[in-house]
Amino acid sequence: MHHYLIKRFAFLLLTILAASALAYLMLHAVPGETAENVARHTIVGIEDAVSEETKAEISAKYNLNDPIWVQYSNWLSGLIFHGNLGSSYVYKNTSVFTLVSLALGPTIILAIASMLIVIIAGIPLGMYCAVHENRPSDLIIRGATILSISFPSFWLALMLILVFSLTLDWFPVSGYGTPANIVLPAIALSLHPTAVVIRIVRTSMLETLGQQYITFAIAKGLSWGHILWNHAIKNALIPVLTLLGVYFGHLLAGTVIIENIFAWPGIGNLLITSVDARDIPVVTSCIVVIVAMFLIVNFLVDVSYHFIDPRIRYE
Amino acid sequence: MSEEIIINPDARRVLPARSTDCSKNRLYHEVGKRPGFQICLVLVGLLIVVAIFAPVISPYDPEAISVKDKNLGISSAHLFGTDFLGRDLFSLTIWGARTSLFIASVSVVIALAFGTIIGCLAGYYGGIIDEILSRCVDLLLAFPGIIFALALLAFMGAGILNMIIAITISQWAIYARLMRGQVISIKNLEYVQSARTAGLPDRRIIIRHLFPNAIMPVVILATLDIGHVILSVAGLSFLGLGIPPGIPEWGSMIGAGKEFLRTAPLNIIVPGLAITFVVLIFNFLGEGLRDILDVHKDQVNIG
Repeated sequence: MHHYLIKRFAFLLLTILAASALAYLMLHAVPGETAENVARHTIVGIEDAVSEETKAEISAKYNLNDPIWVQYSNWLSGLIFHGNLGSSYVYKNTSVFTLVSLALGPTIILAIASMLIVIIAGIPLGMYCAVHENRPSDLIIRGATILSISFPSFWLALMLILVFSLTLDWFPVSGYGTPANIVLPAIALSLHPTAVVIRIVRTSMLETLGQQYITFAIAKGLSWGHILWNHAIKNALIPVLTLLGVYFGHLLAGTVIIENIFAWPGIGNLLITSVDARDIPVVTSCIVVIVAMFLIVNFLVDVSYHFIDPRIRYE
Repeated sequence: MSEEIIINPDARRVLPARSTDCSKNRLYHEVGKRPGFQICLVLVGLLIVVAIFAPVISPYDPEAISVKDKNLGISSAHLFGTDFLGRDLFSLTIWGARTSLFIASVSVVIALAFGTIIGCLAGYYGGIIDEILSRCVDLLLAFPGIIFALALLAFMGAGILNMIIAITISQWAIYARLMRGQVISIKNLEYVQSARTAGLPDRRIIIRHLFPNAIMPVVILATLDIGHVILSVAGLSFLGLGIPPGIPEWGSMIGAGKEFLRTAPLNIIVPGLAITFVVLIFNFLGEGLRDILDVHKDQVNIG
């Protein structure tokens, strides 16, 4: 078990490292372009042409003429030894590290709120569907799930704003700070994964309910509620757990669009405004942070299997 | 445990390799039993026709700006009303179908082909080749959802070709992983081993024996994936990263119209419904296909 954990953890670190290298190389692959970007943001202005001399000057100043892997290893050692992710082109007095860490909190809050909706709505509805298999209520809920998987989440977000903010005036259109602000973005973000979780819980529950130990429990005369909550649910939820990890990643990716719509000051919003401004150091850091969060959550899910299902052994 | 990854909610049911009986008669029989699936097929056909003949079908030039007609409601002249620049929303929606379907189908087909080849090679040869290819797949799948495509587009800039490249690069890994699993699960079956014993070259074994027997789940996944790709393309264009202005696209229509959410919601409602409708059709199609080709279910019912 410990051996497995260490191996798995080392693999996690390696993957994060490789992903950060990939993101860095991708975004810094064209040295001339990087120099031009810096010049546009620091010296001449966004629209103007950049002279070759300026570019050469900047390339020399920021070591852009070094081979790309040297630049990457400098960036990485800065991150590891000094907690320094470089400086932003746009927010000149703020380090990327500050920008990213300020944005991290709101994103995590939004992700947790959405995950709560997914769990609280998804699991009971899925179980309800399984117990009422092929009855009208099951068919209606399943129809609704297929429909919600087909909505673009950003469109749903705009429709929610149209109905609940602009028409009914129940929630603010956008912003951050009060509890009312989180309701619409969390709903928009969680609808898709909730639908998926309902379907998986239903399938998994039906499979479990068909097993012999359940039949035995029924024959023994246990009450239906007892069987459902004490016998069936534990086995039925194991596949759901894997899925929650994967869908946490989708949630993180989804926040990129949803935060943008609701002006939520998180990583996704920072990423998009930085892409628009070609603020490459911030873009790189945001992507690395999102990938790292995704991988860490999946690592935790993998590890927690053992505690939820002791039958699962690791090699 | 780490070998198994669930890409799609229901892909779990697709993953295990089963001998899939795809004889024509059974296929016709299964399709005949499912009127819903037939309707889906017809609708997909209709969509393709609309996309191809968009220039003929659309009543107006989608780029014809006419400021005096802006934000008109639904009327017989403008079926879906007009947008904030007075362009006919019905025509824009039809041309948008062209863009979305083109990008989605091209990138899914390329990703499918590339992923299948890589998955076949990794699964069949194993060893160091498998190790290298699988680590590449792991690395790509470490980027959740649209993040990798987004990073690529941030690097390359907007454009239809760039969008296809970005989507293809971020999607092929899923097919490679599924195909690899499929090939590994059948490569030691008797008929493959006999082919090897008979001295058939690897190339022939892969093409004649492994590929046809492993491909079905991958094709089903691709069908389910088309809807997903349409959503991703729309999302990236909504953010202003995907399709440059001037090309009608549903996501960018919503992105441009969101300023007019209060005054002219049709700008957003129409393209959003178009996306939902198309994605819904492809989701139904994929699920229908999975049910039809999934022998497992019959076995469960019989047994």
